[in-house]
Amino acid sequence: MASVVLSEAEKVYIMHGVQEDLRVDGRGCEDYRCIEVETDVVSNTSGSARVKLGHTDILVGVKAEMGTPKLDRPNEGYLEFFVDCSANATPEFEGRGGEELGTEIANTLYRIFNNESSIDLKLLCINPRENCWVLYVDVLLLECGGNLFDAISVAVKAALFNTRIPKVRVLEEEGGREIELSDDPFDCIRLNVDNVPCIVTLSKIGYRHIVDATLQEEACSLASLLISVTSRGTLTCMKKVGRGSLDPESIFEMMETGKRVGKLLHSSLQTVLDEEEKLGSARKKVGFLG
Amino acid sequence: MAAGGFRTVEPLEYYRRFLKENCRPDGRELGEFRTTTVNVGSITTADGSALVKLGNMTVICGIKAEFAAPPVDSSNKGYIVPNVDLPPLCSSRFRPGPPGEEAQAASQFMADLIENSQVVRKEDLCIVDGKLAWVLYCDIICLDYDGNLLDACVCALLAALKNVQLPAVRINEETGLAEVNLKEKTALTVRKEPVAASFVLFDSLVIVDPTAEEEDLATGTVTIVTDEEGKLCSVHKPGGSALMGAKLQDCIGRAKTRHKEVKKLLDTLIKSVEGT
Amino acid sequence: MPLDHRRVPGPEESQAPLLFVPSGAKESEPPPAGAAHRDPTALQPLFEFRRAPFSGRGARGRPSDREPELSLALQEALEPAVRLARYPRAQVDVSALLLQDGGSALAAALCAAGLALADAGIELYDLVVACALCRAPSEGEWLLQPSEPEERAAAARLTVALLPSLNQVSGLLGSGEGGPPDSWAQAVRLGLDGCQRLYPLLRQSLLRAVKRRTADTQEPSEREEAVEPPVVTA
Repeated sequence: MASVVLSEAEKVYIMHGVQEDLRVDGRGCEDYRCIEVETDVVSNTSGSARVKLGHTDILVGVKAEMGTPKLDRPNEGYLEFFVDCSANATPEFEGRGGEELGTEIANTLYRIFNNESSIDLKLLCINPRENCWVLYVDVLLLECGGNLFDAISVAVKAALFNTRIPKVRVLEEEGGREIELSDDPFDCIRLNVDNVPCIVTLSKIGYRHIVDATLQEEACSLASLLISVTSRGTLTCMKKVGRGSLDPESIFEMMETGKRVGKLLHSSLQTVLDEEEKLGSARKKVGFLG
Repeated sequence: MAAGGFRTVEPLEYYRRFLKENCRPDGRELGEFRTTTVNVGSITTADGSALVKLGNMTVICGIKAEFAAPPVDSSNKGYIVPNVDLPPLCSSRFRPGPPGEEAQAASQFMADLIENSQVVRKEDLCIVDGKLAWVLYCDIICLDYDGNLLDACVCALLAALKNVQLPAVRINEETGLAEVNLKEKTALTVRKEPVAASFVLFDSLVIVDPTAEEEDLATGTVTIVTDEEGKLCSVHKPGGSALMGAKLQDCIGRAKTRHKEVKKLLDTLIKSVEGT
Repeated sequence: MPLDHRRVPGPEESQAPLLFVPSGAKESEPPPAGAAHRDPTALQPLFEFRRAPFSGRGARGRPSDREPELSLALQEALEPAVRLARYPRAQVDVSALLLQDGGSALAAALCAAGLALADAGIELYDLVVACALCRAPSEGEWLLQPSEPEERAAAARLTVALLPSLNQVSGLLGSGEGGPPDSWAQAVRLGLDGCQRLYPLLRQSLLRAVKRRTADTQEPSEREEAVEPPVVTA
C-alpha cells in the first residue's frame, strides 16, 4: 500500500497529539476530513461518483450489462467489483505493483456486499436462469492520501445511488422469449441503497483509536479494525488489518465508536446525495475541473 | 557420525558400497518395494478419494464429478481430467506458482495412461448423447515427496476411481434440465486395473521403487505399467543411460509381480470398505 | 479463460450435480464424521493458503478463487506472533493446504500454522490459537467451531485468532447479515473464550512432539551404550 516513511520524532509527535485528542491537522479522534462527493461524473456509465477525502481521490463507475444468473442463484443478478490502482496515484502502483492492493480491496467489497440485505439482487433478475443484470462496479484510485477503504465504500454507495438501469420487458413469443428495451430513456430502475454499508476504519495509535487516518497517521499505526456499518448502525463485516495485534477490550470500544461514526457518515452522505438529486439536470457539473 | 558425513560428502560412493552387498541404505533389497499403504474414501467432499503411501512418499487423489456438454467431435464421450500437483509443502525442491516441469510431465503421463489403458471408458461417462456427460476431475496432490511419484500416482488414481460413486441422473422431459438423485448412487465401472512399477538405473544395476535420494543419484528411470492380464499399458523411459533389452525383460517381469501384490492389497481394501 | 498448457485441460464449462437436485428432495445431511483431514505446513513466499480442488462440497474449486483473501488473513493473524526481527535477511514461508473443508477451515489452518511455526523452532512471542463462529439464521445464537453445513446455512461468520498468554487479538475476519455491535462483541468474547479452552490442547501436542523427538535422538546412543559392554567383555 502507498505509505510514507516517518522519523521516530515525527511518530512520537503524532502519537502525543492523538493522546490529547488533537491531531496534526486539528481534528479530534472521531472526526473525518472534509468529504467532497459528486455523482454522475462519467456520462457513459449507468452510474458514477467521485469522492475526495483529503488527498484521497476515488472515481467509481457502475455499468449495467446483461448476463446470465449464477447457477446457484437463478433468481438474482449480481455485482462484480474491479479495483484499478492507477500508477498516477503513487509510483508504487507502476506495472503490477497495485494488483495486490486491488484484489484486497475488491475482496473486501465482495465481503461487505455478500449478504442479502445490502442490495436487493432479485430486482436485477430479468428472466430466471436466463437473463439478469450484472452490475460491474469499477473503482479507480486517482490519488492515495490515506483511508482508502472508507473513501471507496462512500464512492461505491454514491455511485450505486446514482445508478439507473433501463427497464426491459420480456415478450413471450413462439420459439422463445425476447427482451424488449423500453423506448423512454427516463423509464428506469433505481436501486435502494438504504442498507448499503460504509466502511469505517479505526486505526490504533498508542492507547487510542482514530477514524480517517492520513498517510502519516497510518504509518504510526500497527493494527486497525475495519468494520462496515449500515445506516441503521448494524455491523455487516469486521476485519483486522495490519501487522500488529489488538487488545480485546479496545476491539469492543472500536466497534462502538465505529457504529456511532458510521451512522453519522451515512446520514450526512444521504443528505448530500438527496440535495444533489434535487438540483436535477440544472446542476452545474464540476467534474474534473474542480 | 562418520557414516553420516560419508553419505553427505560422497553420496554416490556411499551408495555403491551398499549396492555391492546387494542392499540399500534403508535396509531394502534391490528388488524390494517400500511398504505400501492405501486408504480410500477419506475425503468425503470428493466423489471418490484415496491416499497412498510408499514409505514416506504420500500422495492423495480426490475425484470430483461434474456435468458438461460432450466434446463436439465425439458426442458419446465424457471427460477424465487428471492433474498432478506438487505443492511447495511436499518438498523444498518445488517452488510455488503454476505447475513445474515434473508436475506437468506427471499430469501428461497420467492422461496418456488413462487414454491408453482404458481404465475407464469415456463412453461410460456419457449421460445423454450430445447433451450431457460426466467430467471426472482427478486431482492428485503430493503431500510428502520421497521419490517414485508415478507409482504412487497411478495407485492413488486407481484406488480413487474404484471409490467413485456417481449419483443417478435423469432428464426432466418438461424442462429439459438434468435432475440428480443423491440417494441413488452407483459405482463407476473400472474396466482395467493398471499398476505401475518404476526402476532406476545405477551403473549396470536396476533398482526398484527409488527414494528421492536414489532418483537424484541414478542415471536413468524406467516406468512400466501393466494391467491385470499382464499386458503392457505403458513403458516410459525418459532419456537417461541405455538399458539392455534383457534387463528390460526383467523389469517387465518384476512389474507383473508388483501388479499381483498391489491388486491383492486393493482387493482386500475394497472388500473391507464394502463390508462396513 | 486463457489457455493453460501447464495443466491438463478439461471442458470449458462444467457444473456440479448438486445444483440439479430437485428442490423438493433436499438431501439429508450426514452426521459430521470426526475430525477432517487437514494438513498445513511448509514453504512459499511468506504466507499461502490453498484449497485442494476437491476440498469443498459442490463445484470443484478453481485455482485462486478465494485464496488471496485467506492467504492475507493467514499472514495478518500470524505476523504479530513471529519475532521477524530475529531473522533478518531470511524468509519464513508458511503454506497451508486444505484437503477437506468440514467447516471452520481458516481457524484450523491458523492453529495448524501456529503449531507448525513453533514446531519448526521459529522464535515466537506466543502461540496462535483460532476459533471460528457462525450465527444461525433464525434464532441468532452464535455457534462455536461450526461444521460445514452449519457454516453454509449461517447468516454471519467470524474467525478470531488470539495470542493466548499475551491476551492480544491477532486476527479477526467476519461478515454476514447485519447485527448490532453488541451481538458481534458477544461473538468475539465467545471466540476468545473458545481459544483459551483450545490453548492447553495445542500446548500438549507441542510437548508431545518435543518429547517424541528427544526420545528419537537419544535412544540410539543409549542403545549403543547398552550394547557396548558385552562387546568389551567378549
